[in-house]
Amino acid sequence: MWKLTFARTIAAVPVIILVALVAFMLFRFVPVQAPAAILGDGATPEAVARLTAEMGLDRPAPVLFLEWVGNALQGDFGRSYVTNLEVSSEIAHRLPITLTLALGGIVIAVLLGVPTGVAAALYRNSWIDRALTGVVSVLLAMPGFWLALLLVLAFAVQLRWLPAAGYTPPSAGLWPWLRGFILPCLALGLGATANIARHTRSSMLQQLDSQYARALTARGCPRGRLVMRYCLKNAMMPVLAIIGMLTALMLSGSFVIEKVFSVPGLGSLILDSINRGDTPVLQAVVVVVAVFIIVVNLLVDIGYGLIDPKVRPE
Amino acid sequence: MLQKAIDCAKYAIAASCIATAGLSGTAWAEPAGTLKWGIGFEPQGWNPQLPPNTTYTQLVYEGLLRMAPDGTTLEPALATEWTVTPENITFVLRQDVQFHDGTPFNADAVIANIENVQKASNRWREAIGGIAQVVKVNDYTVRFELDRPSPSLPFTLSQRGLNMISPKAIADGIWEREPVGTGPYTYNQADTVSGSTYVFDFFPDYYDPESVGPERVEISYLPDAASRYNALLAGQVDAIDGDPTQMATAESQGFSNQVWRTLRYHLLMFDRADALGDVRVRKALCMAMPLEHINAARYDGLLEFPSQRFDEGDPAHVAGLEPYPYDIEGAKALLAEAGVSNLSLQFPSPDFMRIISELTKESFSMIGVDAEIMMMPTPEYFQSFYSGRYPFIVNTMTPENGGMFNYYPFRFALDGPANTFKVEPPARLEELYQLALTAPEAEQPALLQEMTQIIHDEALDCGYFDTAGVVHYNSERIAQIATTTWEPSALRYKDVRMVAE
Repeated sequence: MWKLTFARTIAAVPVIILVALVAFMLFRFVPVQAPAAILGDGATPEAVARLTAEMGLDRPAPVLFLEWVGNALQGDFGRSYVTNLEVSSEIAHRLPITLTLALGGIVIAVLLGVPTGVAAALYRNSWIDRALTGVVSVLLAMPGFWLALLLVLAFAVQLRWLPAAGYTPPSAGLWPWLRGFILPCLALGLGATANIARHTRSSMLQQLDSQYARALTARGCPRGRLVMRYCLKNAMMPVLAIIGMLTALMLSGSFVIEKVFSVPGLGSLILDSINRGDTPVLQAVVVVVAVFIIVVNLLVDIGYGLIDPKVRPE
Repeated sequence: MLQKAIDCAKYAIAASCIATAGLSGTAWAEPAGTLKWGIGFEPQGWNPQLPPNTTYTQLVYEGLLRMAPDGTTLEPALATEWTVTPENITFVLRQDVQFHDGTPFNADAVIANIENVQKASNRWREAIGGIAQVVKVNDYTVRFELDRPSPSLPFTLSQRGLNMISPKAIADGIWEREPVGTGPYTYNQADTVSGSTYVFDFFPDYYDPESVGPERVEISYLPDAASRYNALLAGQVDAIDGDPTQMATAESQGFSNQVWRTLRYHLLMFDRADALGDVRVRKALCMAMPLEHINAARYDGLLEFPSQRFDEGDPAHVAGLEPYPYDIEGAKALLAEAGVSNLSLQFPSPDFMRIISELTKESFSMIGVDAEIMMMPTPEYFQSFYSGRYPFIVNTMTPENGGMFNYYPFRFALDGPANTFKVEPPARLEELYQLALTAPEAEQPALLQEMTQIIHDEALDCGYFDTAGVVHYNSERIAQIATTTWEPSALRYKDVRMVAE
């Protein structure tokens, strides 16, 4: 098991370096460079050149890259060109918000998706199966932002139970903080619910039709025990892989949801930074998001190894 | 009889109310209530010289002078009096002002601020380029010694780039991260949630507390227009930066609208030497500007179409000047007369200008001009203004605001930042400008008006339309909303009045 963990961790290192390099190079070639973005609509070429020199950005790219990597390894991503705030503190403020959103979405998706999939499989071809499959299909087809708008209209505008937009920090109290996350997490999680339900259903059907399930039934194993103890456990293997993949997707999905709900997470930070040409923030966020996705994949791989010894290296 | 008695009772109640109000009329009502304002912009640091953050900086900072709600009249702010001569400008400062950090506002503070701008790398340094030195006459009087006539300087001093920052904050190097001004509100960092809600509290030592309405201002950063409107519907905010096309909906849902002029857009013709070198070609483009189409498609009929760069009341305004009419056939005839066919032009556009750009392209194609839109992100678009790559743009240039003494040197003078193709201006135009610079004030209007006439006759600039800013607000919460002409996305916060709770 340690061997698997070590091998996967080592394999992640060059990927992170590659991402850092690509992020750095990409932002060197964008049409608007930071000095022009900082100076805004009154930026004359002379003023841009002057500020470029003042910021040391006229030095060779390899020098700038090595300097950036060296500082980043010490947790120093520099300061935003636009707000002049430390990038690391800005990420430290925004990352937990995005993670809460993604985690909330995945929890909703699992809590709703797995029972839905199991119920649809158990009542195969009945009206329950058809109704649940219908709902799942609708949720799958519905764009996340549209679902978000419907939720806002219902629960924020009409009923006024939940906020329509914005973010309340945990310091304001647990309930106010949680209230602000309910609609964004639902909007994010319902699409994934459909995905998980669909995969759970097909996986459960496979298990219920398997020879071991028939043998257990023939031996008089109670239905509830068969489903919960044997079939569900085995059916979860492919579902776990889907959940791992969805967690990564959830992060990118949260970027759209953050915009719709005006939640100040990493997604809104990255969009705003693109608009402002704020290179240090962009580089740092791209690397942080990449590291997060790599870590999630690593954990899924390790989890796979824990559940299924066959995937462990010899 | 009964009706008469009821009417009498009504009048009696009304009279007693008026009498009570009269008795209490001299009492000062303390700043009260919280204004919750939803806006699509986030503060980009606290340096007032950098990107246009007036939505936020206007709460904290003030300048020596300020702009009246009409957007053209200068009012005293931190300076109570000013005297302008071609050689210098003298300011008498308020004596009862202190910065939020307790530093007194005085002549030394003004000197520190001017020196701070003179060290900057942005356009504000050029904007105050005429100041040779600032002399402290006494603690509350400063004299700006000029090395060239700078009649536009008082206007510049009312703008965000010349807001007064605490000299201590400048010396400590924190002024770009922490806003320390003299304004009616202080930045409440503890209650602020970065990227979401920015909180400002009334500054108890503000020198003019009677003028301040809300006690607290909370600005929610809501970048998505639909989210912003939903937040208003849900009662999370009292007012939002709105959209002209949503005014009727807002009204039908019980909200009030405030409309004001925010930016003067026009056809900015840069390549007046080559592609647009012939006056007939420029006139043809002016006559093909689809102003009414833009008005209908994007502004719900709210646009105004001035005939020239400056309004009535400005010394450069020419009474009776007619704008170029929308006349496709006339434009075609002018192009034919100029012998121009197959004219191809590229012009940049960001997404927020897409409708205006598409309509312009379509209209130009009707006169045989092939205008290609170069779509690009907003920062690249603004940078492209001064790149010298594009022969024309449809937009505004705010450094031109404030009168001919800003407009001409910025747009048309040979070394003007917006004269990107380095085109020699008409000789008479330059001559008039030089004359106006040193002419006595009484003689300036005639010279400036002749300049406006030349700019019009030579079609150096045209196609003016004033964009409309809209605030949708809840009148059950806000009794009075206040905006400034030519100041988009910012309220006159202290002039807002909340409904008493």
